[in-house]
Amino acid sequence: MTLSIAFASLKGGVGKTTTALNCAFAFARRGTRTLLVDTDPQGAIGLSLDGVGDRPGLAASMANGDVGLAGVLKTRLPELQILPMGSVDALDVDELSRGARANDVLRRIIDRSQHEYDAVIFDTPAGLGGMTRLALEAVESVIAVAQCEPLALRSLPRLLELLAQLREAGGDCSLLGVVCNMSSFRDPVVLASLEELWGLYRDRVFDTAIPRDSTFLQASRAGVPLGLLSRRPPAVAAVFDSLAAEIEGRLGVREGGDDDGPIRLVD
Amino acid sequence: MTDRSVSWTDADSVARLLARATAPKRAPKPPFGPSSAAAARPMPAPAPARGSVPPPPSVRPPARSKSLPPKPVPRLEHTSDNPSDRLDALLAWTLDNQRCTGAFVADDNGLTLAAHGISEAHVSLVGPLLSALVGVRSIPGIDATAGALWLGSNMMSWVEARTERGGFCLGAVGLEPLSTRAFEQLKEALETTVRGL
Repeated sequence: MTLSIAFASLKGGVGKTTTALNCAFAFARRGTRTLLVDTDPQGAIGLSLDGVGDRPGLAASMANGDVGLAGVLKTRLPELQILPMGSVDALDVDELSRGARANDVLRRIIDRSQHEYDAVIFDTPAGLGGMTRLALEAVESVIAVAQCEPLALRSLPRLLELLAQLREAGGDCSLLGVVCNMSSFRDPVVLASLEELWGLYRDRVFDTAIPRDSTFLQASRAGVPLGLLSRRPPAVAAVFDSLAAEIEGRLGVREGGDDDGPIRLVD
Repeated sequence: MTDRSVSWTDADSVARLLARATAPKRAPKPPFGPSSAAAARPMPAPAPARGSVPPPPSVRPPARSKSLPPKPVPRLEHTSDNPSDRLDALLAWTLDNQRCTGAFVADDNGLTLAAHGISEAHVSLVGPLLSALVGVRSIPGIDATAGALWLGSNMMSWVEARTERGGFCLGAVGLEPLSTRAFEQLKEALETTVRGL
């Protein structure tokens, strides 16, 4: 069965798109056939990747009455494909989410991905309405992205409240975990935020924290995932390998876990 | 300095939300990856016929608890110069005002001077723990005078204070980690207790 995961946050600017994109890349590098779907009407994935922003995507497919995977783009990695949002007129944003709800677009994308992909990852827009809520209603697992600063922490319970309400209304989604973004052990406010995050959310917080690092800006400038910033990937790209492994561990989809250990090179 | 936490969030309400927003662990999915990409996938179990399973009783979501401001913690004041009385008062103050189920005071050799509500195992841990921190203290830029350690389902938190007679350690054991503010309060209480002894 194909995994469906949404990266979500009420607050904007916490790094949802960066985390979703680089996690999808890490999943693919690990051999997982991954579809990254941009549900943000602003087209955050398209803005993040060189060569994607001007492609028609989900919005164009919906406008044509098609909710399939016609706009899917192949990437350099055979295991990674992307369904960008494409261009959406600002005046049509509300109409987009209404149309997506009326046609159950995101759930149908997951259904149609069952044979081609092992995982469908949704990048969502900030906020808890519109396309974000649709994504939360469609997926099985939600990863809350929390920037290590007070405002992001204060908004986190609102996401949990929505998830709880959706579940109580019969939804399948559950919180897989909280990932700390832009962490730094030098700033006292960030450190205090991290302490509280760990204290409040305890084992729901992924062990892997994504550091604040200028390499992200370089990758953003180049419009590439961190792992393709240069032929020798920057060291910070490894955190997404670690996060992907943690996600797989929590979902129980890859062997390993507590009995993980050395693997013989030669049998 | 404010008493409010960074997140303005009540730990109990978050715990209730997490319980509502988190699923019990499902049966593990089959592994995927390069070796399984082409492998046959198991057929999903047939869905039960509609109506064959009685609908679950409607569950009313728990009433939202009003988030109360944290109770102010009184400063510890000593009226006795007797060390034993002071240590007892410190333990009582800790248990009354911090989220812990047990507390202890030890010297910097790990000798337990007073303890209440903690197991023998935790008492025996104090010595090796403080010994291990000797090496940590020598690292420049590291403040090892307070810390916390998960011990299975319990969290042990401790603070240290130095006097002319050596170091003292106040520890608390509970189900949850203490806040940064609680650490400050423990440290102040310990310093008040050992001052002049």
